[in-house]
Amino acid sequence: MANQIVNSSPVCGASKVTTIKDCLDMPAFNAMYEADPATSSANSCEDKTLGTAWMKYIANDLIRCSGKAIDLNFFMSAFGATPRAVDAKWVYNRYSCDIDHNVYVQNTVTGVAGNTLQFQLLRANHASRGKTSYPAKGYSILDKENMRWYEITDVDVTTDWGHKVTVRAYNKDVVPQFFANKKYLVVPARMVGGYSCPQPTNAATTIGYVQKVAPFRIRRDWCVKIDLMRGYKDILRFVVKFNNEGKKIDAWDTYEAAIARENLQLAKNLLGFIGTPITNADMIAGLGATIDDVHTGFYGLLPQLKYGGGQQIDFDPAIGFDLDADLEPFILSQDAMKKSGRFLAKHGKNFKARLVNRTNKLIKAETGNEMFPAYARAGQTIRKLEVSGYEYLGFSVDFQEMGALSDSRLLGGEYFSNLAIFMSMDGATDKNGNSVNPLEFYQYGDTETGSYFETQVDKREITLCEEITGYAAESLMMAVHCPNLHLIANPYKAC
Amino acid sequence: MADEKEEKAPILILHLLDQQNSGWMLEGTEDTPNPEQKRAPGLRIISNRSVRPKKSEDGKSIINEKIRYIYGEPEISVELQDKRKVIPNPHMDIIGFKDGQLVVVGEGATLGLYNFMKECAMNVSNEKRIKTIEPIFEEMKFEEKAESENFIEFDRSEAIGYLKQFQIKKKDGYEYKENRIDALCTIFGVVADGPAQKLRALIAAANVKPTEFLEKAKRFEEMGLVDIQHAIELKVIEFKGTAVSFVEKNKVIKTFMGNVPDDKKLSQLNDFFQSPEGQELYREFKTELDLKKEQKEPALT
Repeated sequence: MANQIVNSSPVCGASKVTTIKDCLDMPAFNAMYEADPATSSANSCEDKTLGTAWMKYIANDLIRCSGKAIDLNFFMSAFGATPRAVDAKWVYNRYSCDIDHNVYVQNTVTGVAGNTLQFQLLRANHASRGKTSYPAKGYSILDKENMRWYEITDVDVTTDWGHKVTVRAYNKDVVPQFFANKKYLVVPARMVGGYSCPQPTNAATTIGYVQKVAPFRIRRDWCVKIDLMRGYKDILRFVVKFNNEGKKIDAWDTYEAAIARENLQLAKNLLGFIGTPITNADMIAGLGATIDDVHTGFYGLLPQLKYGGGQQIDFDPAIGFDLDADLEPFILSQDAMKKSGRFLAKHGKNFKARLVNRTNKLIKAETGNEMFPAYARAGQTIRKLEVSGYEYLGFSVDFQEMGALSDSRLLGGEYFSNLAIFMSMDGATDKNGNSVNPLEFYQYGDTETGSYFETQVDKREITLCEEITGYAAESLMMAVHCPNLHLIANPYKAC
Repeated sequence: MADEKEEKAPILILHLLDQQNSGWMLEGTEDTPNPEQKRAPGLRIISNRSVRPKKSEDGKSIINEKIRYIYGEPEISVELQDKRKVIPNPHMDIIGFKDGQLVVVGEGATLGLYNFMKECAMNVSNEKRIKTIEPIFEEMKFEEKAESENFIEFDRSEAIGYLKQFQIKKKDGYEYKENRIDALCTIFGVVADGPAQKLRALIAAANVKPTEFLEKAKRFEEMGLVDIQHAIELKVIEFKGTAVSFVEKNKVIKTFMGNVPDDKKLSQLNDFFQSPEGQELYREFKTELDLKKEQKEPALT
């Protein structure tokens, strides 16, 4: 495997963010920019008056070596939408899933040939708060791999979440055996003779899963002493206040308000992408609590896909994602459940670079000697052709780079730069059959909403203290619908 | 025909390591204390290539041998597969965990998969795995898990039984071995008012880590008795009449009330040393004992 010679860490002596608590004033500000009097040539000969005689000649007072502005809004710009107004702070979504006719047993059991056998049903195979389950007296259970049929002779529902099913094998010579972690198919019809009487078993399918969405609420405060805005002790030679885009800002209060806005945006996007709820009781209640028991938050996009039943394919980032070998199992599994066929893949730069190389090699291998253009010439310029989309067997995917995934000043690193998230563009529908966006945002509150709010107050009018203070706050709620429709291409080095 | 004992094929029950709550709860369980949640991807396809340690040909070093799962092929060494011209088929050589689990039977068409999953570096239960590769799954050994859980329950019951001896039911109430209770409170950092409440707190501590509790309590008891025996042999202390004293200092350590048999005197002295009142005398005792030990067996220079 080749050594990595590309260094994606920030260089050029990365600018550091620093936090100054309480109200910003002269000593704190000075400490950030004042030259060290012990080593500064401005104080040579240890005579402070002489120090002002000489000054360094600065040809350019600022040349920016930094790259493009950090995309603080990376998640919202990729997935964001106008939030839907809701009437409560906790929102529930109910999801109907595919009916699965299989069940699992809680523990492995083995019986004796010719006798009945009883097993306990796995907790997850119960419904109606543990009171109902699929197997019913008279139905059959099939051990598919071994082609063994069993008739259900009894179902004991005395214990909620622990229904006990008694079976007997069709073939009396078979030793009945049921393994934990193995699927057994329920055949929901009775075997009867020529004359039979009713034994009603009414079927009702449960909805499936429920997702609870609780809000995050985030806030950023700032405070500037008025005195700082009246000028400094000495003249400041260089501009020191810039926003995320590198634009200079003159006034301190405007500067702090702009930074607060940007910080909130960053927190909101990170929560939407990889947030997880707050469950630490010390944060929720008690002496050191910082939130309350309502604003405990939600799972962001990536945790929901990874742990909420999404599809995940590991691939070697050194080799690249293979559109044939890696993607085909996903295409087939989508087809097997008749799910979505249109996808938009958001990915990091490294993922795309390796994908292009891998795809070129794949096509050359598959087409043999046929020429497949990997490059195009326009005059004297050579352009390497990329892969922006792929179609196969009625399945289509469009690739779209998400710059923040490879931005090492933010999320970027080996994992995120090689990551791709394939979002289904269709497949999830509401009860009326209308297509539903894979991500949905909510905003609570009627007149006083949780949407973005900022303000600043001149405290001279209120407490008579000479300071300006302000804050920005926002609530965020988000749901990922049907994670099982989406795919994560997960970079993993197996060797 | 002789009876042939059917050999059961080995079964691997595998479980993804990276699992956590997702907020997706089975309907009907959302308000229960432990809602049934989805905790894993619906399908996770992992790599069919890995490495395993192997002795080099000269036997002097360990090298990484490449292994690979090919559907239907029991051999997993890439070198041997290439020698036999076994061709991989990326469309078939797929290893998928459904809802975080995978069951593999070690026979027939899945023998190769069984061998691969057992020996690959992604299996954290494989003690010989190459540790620099991030593990992805573990083997679920339910029988062993049940065995160790059973033992914890047995220890819990023994620990509670051990504490029971310190509260003796009498006709008109209870009698407590307060010295011993206080000593245990000191060892386990338990604070409470009254002997009954102290015992409740000790029971709670025993319930949390019963095996550790038992080991600590018994070790401390035994340690004390061994030291006292040793001290008698080295003539640091002596039992005379109803008291025990330092021999050289001629200082009484403890006086025994009533007619206490000799074997009980040792344990009563041990209890006293473990109580808060006996701490200082215990330190003095240890100093004298260590000094005598050194005089008897001076440290080698």
